[in-house]
Amino acid sequence: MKLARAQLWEEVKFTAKHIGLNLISILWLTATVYWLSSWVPVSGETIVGIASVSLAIVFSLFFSGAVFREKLLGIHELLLSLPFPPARLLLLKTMAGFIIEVAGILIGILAGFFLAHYSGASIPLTLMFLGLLISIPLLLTFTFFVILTTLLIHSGWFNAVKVRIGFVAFIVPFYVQKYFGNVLSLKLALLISLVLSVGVLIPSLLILRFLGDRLAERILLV
Amino acid sequence: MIVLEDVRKTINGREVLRGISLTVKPGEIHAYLGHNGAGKTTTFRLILGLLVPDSGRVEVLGLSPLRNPEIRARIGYLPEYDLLYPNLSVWDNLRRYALLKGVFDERELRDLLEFFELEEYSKKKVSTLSSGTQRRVAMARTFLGSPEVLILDEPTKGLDPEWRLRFKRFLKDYARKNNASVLFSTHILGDVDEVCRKVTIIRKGQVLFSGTLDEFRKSVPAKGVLVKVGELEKALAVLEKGGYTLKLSKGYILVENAEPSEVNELLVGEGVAVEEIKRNELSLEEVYSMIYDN
Repeated sequence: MKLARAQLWEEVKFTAKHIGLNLISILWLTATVYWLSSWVPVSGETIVGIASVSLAIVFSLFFSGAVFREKLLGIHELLLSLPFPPARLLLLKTMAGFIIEVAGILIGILAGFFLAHYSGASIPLTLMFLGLLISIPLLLTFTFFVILTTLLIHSGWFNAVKVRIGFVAFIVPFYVQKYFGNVLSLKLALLISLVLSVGVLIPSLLILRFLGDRLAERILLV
Repeated sequence: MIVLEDVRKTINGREVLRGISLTVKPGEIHAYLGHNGAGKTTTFRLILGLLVPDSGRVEVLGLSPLRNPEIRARIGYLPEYDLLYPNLSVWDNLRRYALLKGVFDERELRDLLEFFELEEYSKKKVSTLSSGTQRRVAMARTFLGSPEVLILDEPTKGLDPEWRLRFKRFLKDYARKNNASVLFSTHILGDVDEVCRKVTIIRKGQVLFSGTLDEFRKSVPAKGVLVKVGELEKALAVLEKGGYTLKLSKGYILVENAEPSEVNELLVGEGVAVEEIKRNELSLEEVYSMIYDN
């Protein structure tokens, strides 16, 4: 257990260092979305609900870069030769990403809360934290899915798809609120988060099950 | 101990390994030779449990590396390329790998930095170092956790002659002290001569030769016989009369396509005093080429 903690902490530090500007983007985006959204005349639940789903998707995509860089350098071969199964390596990277995401969102929520507060339109802090709880399943499953697919798929087309998904997820909070008003309750946001989480968890597990012992081989030979 | 038994592996429709068998005992340094693309790296990856064999048995320290990935903590792997993080310092590269491998020991890490003369670079980014220094960082990483099995893919690549020599001495010493099984690929056969006890040559995924270094040398006939005599002119006349092709080389007569016993018999029979007679041994490169080409 102690060993796993040391590995996780090392991976958190390494990932934080290697996602570079994206690390700042997590808190900056969270703060901005809550701050700007608070100007829109819709309910706090809608703002928090939409942001918690869309930001979780955007942030998960940030971790593709660090993994892709290791793959380009060939270092993934060395990581795969560590004394644990490749699925645990993916889990280690996912957990490191998750910790960074949660820490970034927490700081972003606080910053967004103060920005919104001083702009005269405030969302309750507890509501924002509920939004973080809604994000958790998505942050975990999407981050895992992004890391898994980045290691398994090597194509410019795939990278372009990820950029587009990230862009759409970022834009959605602004437009849904603008055109559809109070469409989202926290319960509905949680439901969407869970449905999307299951939606990426199932293919992730199917890929792991299908590849079985050949997961490392597949990653290595792509 | 490393054991491969009739291992076959096909990658992207190409049969890369075709029934490879190999045993590396504890304390043994085993050279694994072959041209580029012969299947050496694939063999190493199978030993590490990164690839799944189509058939055959792969065992490291008595266990399947595929089913027991935890044994990789006891394997040191030096890939052909250094695979270092260019933007991390030497220390951070080694520390990160040791932590992830679960073998972090600050004292050991410092000792390795000292041995590989990396202390002055420990805080420098790897990208700022020369290729030889980067290779030494990768080497230091390989020995983290004092592994019992070493898989070294062209370990001396990019090293200057002094470091090549130092590394070979270190490796011999390490294998002896730690009773480590070492599988070592190289294109520099001088390294094999000084370090390895056994040699295996593969071509297109098949073993062409496997045996001791001495068996390797003797596996192809020597070029001829080198003779040193007191009466040079008389000896030349006798050998020419015997129908041999002769050359003079550094005070010796080189008798081509001959065995020492027959040359000695002829010269002594004709009253020529033979001071020294020996086989004209082929260099390891020549032996390797002859095995490979035939």
